[in-house]
Amino acid sequence: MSHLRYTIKRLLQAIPVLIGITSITFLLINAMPGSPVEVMLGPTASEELIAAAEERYGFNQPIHVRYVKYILAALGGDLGRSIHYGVPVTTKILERLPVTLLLLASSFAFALSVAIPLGIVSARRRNQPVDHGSRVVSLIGVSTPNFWIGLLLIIVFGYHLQVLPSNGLVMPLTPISEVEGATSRLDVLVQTVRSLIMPTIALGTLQMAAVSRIERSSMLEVLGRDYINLARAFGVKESVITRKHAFRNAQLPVVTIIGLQLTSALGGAVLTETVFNINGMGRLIIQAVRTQDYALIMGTTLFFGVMFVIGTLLTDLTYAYLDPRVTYEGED
Amino acid sequence: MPENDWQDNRRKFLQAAASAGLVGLAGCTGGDGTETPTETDSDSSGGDDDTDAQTSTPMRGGSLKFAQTSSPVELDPVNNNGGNYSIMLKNLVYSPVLGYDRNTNLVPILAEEIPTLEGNEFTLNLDSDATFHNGDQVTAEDVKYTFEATVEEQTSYASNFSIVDTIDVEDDTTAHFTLTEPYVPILHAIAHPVAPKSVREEDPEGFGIDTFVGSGPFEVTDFQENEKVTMAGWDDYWGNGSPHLDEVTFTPINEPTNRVTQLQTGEQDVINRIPPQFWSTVQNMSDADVIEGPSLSYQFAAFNQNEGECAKRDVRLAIDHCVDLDQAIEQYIKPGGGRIYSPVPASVAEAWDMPLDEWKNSWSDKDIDRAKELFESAGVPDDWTCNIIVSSTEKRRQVAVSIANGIQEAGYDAQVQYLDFATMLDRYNSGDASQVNMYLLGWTRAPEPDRFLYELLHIDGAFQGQYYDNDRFNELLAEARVTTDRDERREMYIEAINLFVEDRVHLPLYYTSISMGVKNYVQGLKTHPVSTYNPYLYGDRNNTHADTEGSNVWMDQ
Repeated sequence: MSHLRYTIKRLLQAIPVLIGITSITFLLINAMPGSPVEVMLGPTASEELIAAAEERYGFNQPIHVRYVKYILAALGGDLGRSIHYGVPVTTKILERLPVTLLLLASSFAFALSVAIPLGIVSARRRNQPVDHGSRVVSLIGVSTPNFWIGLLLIIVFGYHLQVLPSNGLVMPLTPISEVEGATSRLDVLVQTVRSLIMPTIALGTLQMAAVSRIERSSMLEVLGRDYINLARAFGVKESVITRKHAFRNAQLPVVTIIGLQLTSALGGAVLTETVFNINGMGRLIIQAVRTQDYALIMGTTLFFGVMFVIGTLLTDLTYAYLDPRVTYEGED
Repeated sequence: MPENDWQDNRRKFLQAAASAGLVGLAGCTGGDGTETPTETDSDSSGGDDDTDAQTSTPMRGGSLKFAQTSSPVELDPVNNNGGNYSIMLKNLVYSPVLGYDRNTNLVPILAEEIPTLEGNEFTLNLDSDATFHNGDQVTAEDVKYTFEATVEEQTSYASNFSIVDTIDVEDDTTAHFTLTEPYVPILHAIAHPVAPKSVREEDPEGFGIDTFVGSGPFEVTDFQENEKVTMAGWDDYWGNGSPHLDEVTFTPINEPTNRVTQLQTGEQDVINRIPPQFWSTVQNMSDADVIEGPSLSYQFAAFNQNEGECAKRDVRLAIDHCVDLDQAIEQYIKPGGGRIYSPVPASVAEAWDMPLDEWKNSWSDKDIDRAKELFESAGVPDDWTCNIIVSSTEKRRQVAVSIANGIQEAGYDAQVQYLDFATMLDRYNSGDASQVNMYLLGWTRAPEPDRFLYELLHIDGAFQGQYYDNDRFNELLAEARVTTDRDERREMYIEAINLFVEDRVHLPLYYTSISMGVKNYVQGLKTHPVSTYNPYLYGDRNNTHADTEGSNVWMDQ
């Protein structure tokens, strides 16, 4: 089976997953106490007013009717209208999506660029001080909540040292006139980098710690294999062994953990965006839940589901690139 | 790098690292989520009174940066999607028909004078000088359109105006209101901002999001939801003078650590809502301070009197004896608020000359032996468990635990359940004693006794949860809302509150404060007890009472 056919097959398999996500979410939000209309109109609204508003927004219809209508509309790309914001859900998601994607990309770039070298060095110098240091860093990274790291960074680098901005994220394509103190696109990019540093570290530390632990253990395993010992017996330099013979083979577990970390990073983005006041998908989903904005909860949950599906698909496809022995069902 | 600089930086870094853990802990535990406007327990802090001593002459100019705790969603007088965070800004952009001075008295804004209610009718005369930002006169037709649109479009303001039967426009500045029944507090309902009919009619959905035309002292120049809102002082404001400030920028910053950091770095000039753990941090800033004032919030513990043990007066009295509320409030609420003794906030009670001291002395001191006697005389079974429900607000949780501990001390079990606000709203009014015996909530309304008593406590009130059904009490509250004579109303409210205290309908707990961190160069900023009037940047139009003062903030730099 070719990569393309496999990809298409996996995408088709994702459809029932997404239907499952929408069904469960739809049922759960309808099982929540209260209703968006009651939240919108306040506790003193009369029953007549609540009934009229429920009719206006279609909440007076049976749940299965509303669900079928939602699915049919969603298939046509219409995720409904946010009762809180008064705009289409897709508009709101598209508005916030680039911010979260930039934050995720930045945090993964940070995590991988630190974790992989750290894991390799740690494995090559097993039980030496650098290994102990690396393990301590990983342990702290894994066990510290990202909002806590974010707060500490704000207090040290924002409040006391005053070297980094703690509020918001400047997007690279923001008009120059809207960025304080910027006179050129380069200034805007500098502001983007500066505003990304703390949120990136806060969000990426968990990924960095998790990946570096896996990288270390995976490298240790590969470096202990017979073919590596054989290479050593032939007098191949340790750096060459690591780079040419061990590294690639050690990356399969790392790729798996990166795929799984995508979902935890999305969850972490909710907290990171709140702490740093970043206007992304994370804060949108919080607002949706607080206001019981059904359409917005459905839309953002569906988006998170799609991201998860894409993450696992990319993980599977990367396997084949890293290890030619990996074959897909039916492939010759 | 010169050695001195390095030493300074090193010292700063070590200081930062050392304090990070301590302050970070405070920051973490003090997260103040955005709350719906009906969940009226702010995480604000208290302490000093307003620090508005002016050291030099007010000057025109300057751009003020103000950090809100959450973002406005729209700025439309007809809608209310953004709650208090939107209303705060609407009050600067749109003029209301009537407003409140800092003593919570009604004052005319767009109105020429406060209308006089005659039965179920009154006539509203508008100030003929009042204009919108586009130069059009504010007319009676605009008032009629705004108020009627809230009902037609079924917004949360509809319940304020549903009692209005007709609004007849007699001429540009005169409108005659007829109510479906006499209702004196209608004057507080019309203390509401007005939108220009001709502009809003063109695009009702875009009004307040893309289009902003009001008659207030500030004009919106940029509105980016969740990013910032920028306003310019309106030079041609039709009221007394114009704002000193050239520009005001509102930025939503939810995380308190971040807000305090922004104040410290000078990225914000004023930050709203200082959590108690940051009180001293802001006070210790060399160039900033905290201003504070009471709000119109009433935080209470209510008893389910529909069924169960708390339906017995002796049990409610016993629970009052179980807890030392003064100590609990000292420990958990101050400096973010203080003790309250009646369902009407102190500033409103004072404005109505109510006997606050008498009520203050009517509540019991902690006396566990007396509580045990009362529980026993009420025939409470030994295995009774008092179910207390409370929403997610930290302050209420802590007070709820204090009450539960007191009940346990008296020999009965008590459980505190923490619920999210939507679940809380779904359960508090169930009247089911197996689910709830007591609930802790907060209430904030316009400074009018009816708004605190009828909706919250009358058996037909919209926010009914305690099911206190005393005929005399209900009669007094119903009669007071149709009585125009203020003295007569006052007597009725005093009698009703006396019954409330005597029967221990609630345990009144505390009020919360409005607090802001303010850079010293920001001059003339005061807090206003009506929380949505803050920041009180411009209030000269309110200065119609000789004993009150307005506000016109300026920058001394």
